[in-house]
Amino acid sequence: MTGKEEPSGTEKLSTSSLDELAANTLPVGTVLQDRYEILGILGLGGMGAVYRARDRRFVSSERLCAIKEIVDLIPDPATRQVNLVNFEREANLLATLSHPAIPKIYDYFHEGNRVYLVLEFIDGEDLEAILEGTQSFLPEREVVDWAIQICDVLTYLHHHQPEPVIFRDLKPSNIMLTRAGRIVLIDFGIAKLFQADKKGTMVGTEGYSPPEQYKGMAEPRSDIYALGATLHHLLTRSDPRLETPFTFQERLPRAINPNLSGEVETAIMKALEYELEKRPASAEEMKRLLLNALGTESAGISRSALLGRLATVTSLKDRTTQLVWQFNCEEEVRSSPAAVEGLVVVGCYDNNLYALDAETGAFRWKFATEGGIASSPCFWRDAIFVGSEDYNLYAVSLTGKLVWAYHTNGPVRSSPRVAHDVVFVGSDDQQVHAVDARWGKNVWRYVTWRPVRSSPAIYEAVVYIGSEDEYVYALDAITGTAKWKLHTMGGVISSPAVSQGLVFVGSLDRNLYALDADSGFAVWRASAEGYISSSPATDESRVFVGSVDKHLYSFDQKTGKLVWKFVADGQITSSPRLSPSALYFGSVDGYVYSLETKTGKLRWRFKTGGPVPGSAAISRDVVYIGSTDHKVYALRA
Amino acid sequence: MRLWGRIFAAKAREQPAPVTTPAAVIPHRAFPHRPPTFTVGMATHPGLQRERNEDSFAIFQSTVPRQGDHISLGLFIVADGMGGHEAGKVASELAVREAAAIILNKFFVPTLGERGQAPVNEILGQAMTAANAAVWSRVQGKTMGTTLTAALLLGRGIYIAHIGDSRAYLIGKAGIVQLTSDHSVVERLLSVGQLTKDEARKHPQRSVLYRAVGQAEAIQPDIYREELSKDQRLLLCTDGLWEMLPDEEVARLVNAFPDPQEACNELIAAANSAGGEDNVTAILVRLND
Repeated sequence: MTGKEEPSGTEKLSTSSLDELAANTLPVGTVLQDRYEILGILGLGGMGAVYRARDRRFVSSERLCAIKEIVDLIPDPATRQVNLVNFEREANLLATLSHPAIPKIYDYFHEGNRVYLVLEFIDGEDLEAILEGTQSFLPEREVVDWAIQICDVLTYLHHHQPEPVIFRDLKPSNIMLTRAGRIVLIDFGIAKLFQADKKGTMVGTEGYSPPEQYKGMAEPRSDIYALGATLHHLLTRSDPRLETPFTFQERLPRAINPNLSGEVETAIMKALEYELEKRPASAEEMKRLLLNALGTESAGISRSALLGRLATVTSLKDRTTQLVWQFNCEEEVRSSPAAVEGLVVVGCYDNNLYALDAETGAFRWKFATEGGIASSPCFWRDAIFVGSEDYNLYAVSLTGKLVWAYHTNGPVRSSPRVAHDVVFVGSDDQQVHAVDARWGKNVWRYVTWRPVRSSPAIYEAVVYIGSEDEYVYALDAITGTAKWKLHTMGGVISSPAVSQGLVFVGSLDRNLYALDADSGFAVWRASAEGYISSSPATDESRVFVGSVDKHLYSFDQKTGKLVWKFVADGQITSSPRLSPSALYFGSVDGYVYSLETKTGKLRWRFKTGGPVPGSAAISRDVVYIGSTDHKVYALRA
Repeated sequence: MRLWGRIFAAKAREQPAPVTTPAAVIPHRAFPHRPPTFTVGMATHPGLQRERNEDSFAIFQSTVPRQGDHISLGLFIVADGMGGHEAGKVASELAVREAAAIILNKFFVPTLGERGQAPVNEILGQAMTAANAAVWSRVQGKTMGTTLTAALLLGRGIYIAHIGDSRAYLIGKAGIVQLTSDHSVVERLLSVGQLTKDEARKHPQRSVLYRAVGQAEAIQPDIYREELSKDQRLLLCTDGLWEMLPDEEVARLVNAFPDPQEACNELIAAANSAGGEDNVTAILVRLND
């Protein structure tokens, strides 16, 4: 059982105690102290009701007041006594306060077994009700104007002599807006004092309270935090009582409501710092921050500030990188280069496999096949393997001489991978081929029902590969027998990536799948708005993939939750490649992009003369990538 | 074989001829083959200070066929009910039953036929939602709710669905790792560095949850995958265990008793010796060689 403070199962949720309170409210028409006539209920609080009442001493005018009652449900007499003393002390303190944003106290009395407090009646609505009464975001200007008024009253309270008064419980439902647009704080922590010993509310979060309040500490900057939390709620409509506690830092206001100004966001997030020293030092400082935010929004400087902001955005989009070299082929380059030991090799639709000097881009040699090369080469010892549309898988020496050719019954558009001295590759002949890497002899074939253009991933002696027959296959690398296969709802051109026991692969059914590498069961799927023919890349915790919906996505491997997405100007069929801190991919919009792996922020983009469907190879801080403009580019990473 | 291949190819045009695999490269598997198994221990106790045991649990052990082989499948669930009178027990039992029914119907049963099934995370999400709906429909102003932590073991993969402050741990010779994080305010304060571990242990609000089954119309469970290796144990337990015993002591006991049932008995005994303030439930899983 949870809620173990109590010796036996007698905990009460707030709902049940509310029911009890509701059953105990005073009926309309009740007259207290022969003076206050109950007209109705304004609300139910934790410890009793708040009534709308009329003061009968003012016979000819209808003088309204709010009457707050405290129904003491705490069975323990000692605790009840402490609460009463605290309540009385607080009421006395309130009586010394005088500020337009604080309701006046008129009276205080006991009647029956209840305590009553007579307060100024505030004709208006609380901010929670206002928020619930609207569908769209509240206007920023108006909310900031309320916040400035709240700063004023907090300043008054925090400068109270002999001791500062800490409101302790600032939140939208404790802030009233009068019909005249004036802010009034209600519920002066009295109920809170009473609630301090309440037990057994096992579920629920205060949402607006700062961390130090959980250590029983409250000081002026605690109210600043609660104001920040209140503003966050009002401007984003995301209720902190429903969100995971203490996640404001992960839910930046502008990520939820992009219309907000950066200055307002900065002020709110500063107020929401966990460390007291990092928050605005006082309500006055908070007010200054908010005034400044309003100033930049409305004053004459706004135009230039706006232009400045636009300029930064443009310049970011224009940030490019250094071209190290470029090389012209005779046809489109749709495949991806491979780089090793000073050599970059790349296949081209002009039927040639080119070998270039990695440093200078100088032509070294070319190896001619009988068909276009859509397959990406791979290195193994002193050989290079590549598939061609002439139905062959080739092994070529590092000097460009044929070592062996292996014939399949269809174009080889899949890219070969080597493990255990065996080359694995798919073919349009619908088969997955395992070929002895030394001699080019067949080891096994596995038959699927459609062309295999996906490239294999080999992990712990299992070959993972997709087929256009909509299946993802796990084949025993040694025997070629299926360990499992999983059906997706679209062709699988994307090549699997394996990380932490999961196989990630995209499908033309628009999903990225995470499959259990052992059993092949789908663990999760994340959907895009378009086909995923791009092949995923992984780091230790995330998986990255592009889609023809123009987005490059980053998902958490364990949960499948979206971490970030980046939108390019064109479709992404290229597969992301990772360096320790950045990722690289091409787009049909003609650009090669580099993003920060962690955040998805654009680092640079480089314009080529045609769509870039191929993927990059990265070696020694240089990115090698081909484009349909017939060129191979070497770019500074 | 070549001939058969040709006949086959002629019959089904779509399919190219299957080719004989050279015998030389096929290593013989070690027969007889036994599918992988696992051993489960389980114990529950009301503790020394409560009359009723409002914890509930479920255990399901099987294997599932996978392309001629089998992989192990296990489902383990613990729930810790909250609420006066019988409400806590009603909530925890209802939640466990609903969740188990959904997972077995939507995941396990389809593995016996030819049909595929939705991704595990979606099925676990549906199970948690169903458990929540069942409890929520019974709450009706009553004091009622429950934690719910489920682990689906598939081969080496462990799929966790979790809400509340029951816990899942991985325990090995190298130590103990808590897989779940409690949905308590105190846990959040700990993780953002605003409370120390010691302060959190003694915090008066340490049992106040911000999420539980049956407290709202919708829930946000944590669902993710972990991996279990041969030298590790998976432990699911309610707070009656972890509040009474430091993690290190739990790890020491689990490592000292290789038999999961014996280890569970020892864990319960240790929690009760430390005060037994709450109901305590433990499920311990070990993969066999």
